[in-house]
Amino acid sequence: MQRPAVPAAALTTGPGGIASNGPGGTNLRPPADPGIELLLSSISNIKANISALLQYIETQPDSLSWPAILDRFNVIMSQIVVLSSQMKNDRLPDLRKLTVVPFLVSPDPDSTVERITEGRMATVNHENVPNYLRTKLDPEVENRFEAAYLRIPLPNTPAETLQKQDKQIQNLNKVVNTLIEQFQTAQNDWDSKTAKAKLPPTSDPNDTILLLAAVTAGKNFPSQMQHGGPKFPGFPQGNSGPQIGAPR
Amino acid sequence: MDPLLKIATFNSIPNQEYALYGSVLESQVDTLLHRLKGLCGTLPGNGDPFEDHYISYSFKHVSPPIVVRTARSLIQNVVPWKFQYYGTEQSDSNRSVTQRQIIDACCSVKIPTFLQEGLGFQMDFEYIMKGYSFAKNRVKISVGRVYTAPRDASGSSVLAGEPVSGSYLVEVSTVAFGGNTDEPSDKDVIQFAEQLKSIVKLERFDPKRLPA
Repeated sequence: MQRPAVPAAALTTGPGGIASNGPGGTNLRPPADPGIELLLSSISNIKANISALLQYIETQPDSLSWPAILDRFNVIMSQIVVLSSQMKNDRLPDLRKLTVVPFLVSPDPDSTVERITEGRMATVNHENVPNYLRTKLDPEVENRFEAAYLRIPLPNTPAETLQKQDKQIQNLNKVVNTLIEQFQTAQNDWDSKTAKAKLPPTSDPNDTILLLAAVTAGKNFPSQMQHGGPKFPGFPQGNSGPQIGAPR
Repeated sequence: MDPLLKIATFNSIPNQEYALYGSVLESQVDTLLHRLKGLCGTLPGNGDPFEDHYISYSFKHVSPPIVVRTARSLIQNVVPWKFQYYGTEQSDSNRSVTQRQIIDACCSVKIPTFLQEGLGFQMDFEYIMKGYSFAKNRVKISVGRVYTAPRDASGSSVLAGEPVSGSYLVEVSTVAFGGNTDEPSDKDVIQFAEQLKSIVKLERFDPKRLPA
């Protein structure tokens, strides 16, 4: 579903001012705003990371490791989060106020555009301009949204309709609850199954108590517990009085 | 700063130790050590073996008796003896971590004589713990086996005797210096214990559960 393209073409940016009058009429005015520079740099970062990831996957398929890929995904994801928070930042010029108007639309390939878009878009023609410059939803989607909004009952909806709706909600809840129950029983089954195939024990709680009793209270030592006064290597001997409570 | 020095400088305010204890069967100790190596990384000192000789002393002329212990390494002769005092359990029973006051100081070899002859402490028992120690941030983990410490005829040297149990004692602890209780030290310990849960169940030390 396409809306009619604007035949005349020009690209204007900002509140007034013609963006470009280059030969193709397709040069965007280079964004001078530092905020946009920031966006551009983070976008190119993301692009670099994605291509690095792709390269990694393609060139070293043998050394692929899932944690490494996850790491890279995480980096990309955090960069995207940063980018979207930058977009929401108040200090950025409000991009919604930026107007872009196509001046010239031609079916001929345009090398400048191709260079700027890194080969993704070769022409500024009637087919892709509406898609790239669209600011509203597709009319079909829009119509469906409107239809959905219209279905929301107005305050003076007859009681009968409301009752019907309540009933439907209850039915839906019932179905959802049954589903949840089913999932839970399935999960319990799974848990008990895995619990049955239990792993060999790794520790013995009795041993913990035994060992702790040994190190804290000196209990459970197998045999000879000495209470004699110990002599230690490198210990000054014979220069002190009788030991208290620990006769030598 | 070296942690031991730090302990020494903070002596005026008792340090708090947060600890959890557990044990692991001999057959699983390799798994546990492997897991610990993975969790703690390959910093120098991680996974190093230790063999320490502990002697517990008590001063019975007061009630309750004061219990202290000394520790020394049997592997390294250059490290000093340590004097350790653990306070009584401070945490409420609903806390999940053992919290105790701890005084841990480096001493000369004279400390046993000083305790016994100078201060009137009585030696209660001694044991040797052999195992491996790890550290992750401020959490210290030790996995070791407890042995008796029989002496040879002259009584001068100590060697590890029979093991007390087939299991290895696992201790996960951290120390909050100088009563600095703002830092959630117990969370570090709990978090680490969670990561070992599948192998060893770490619990707080409850003296009441010890057999009488």
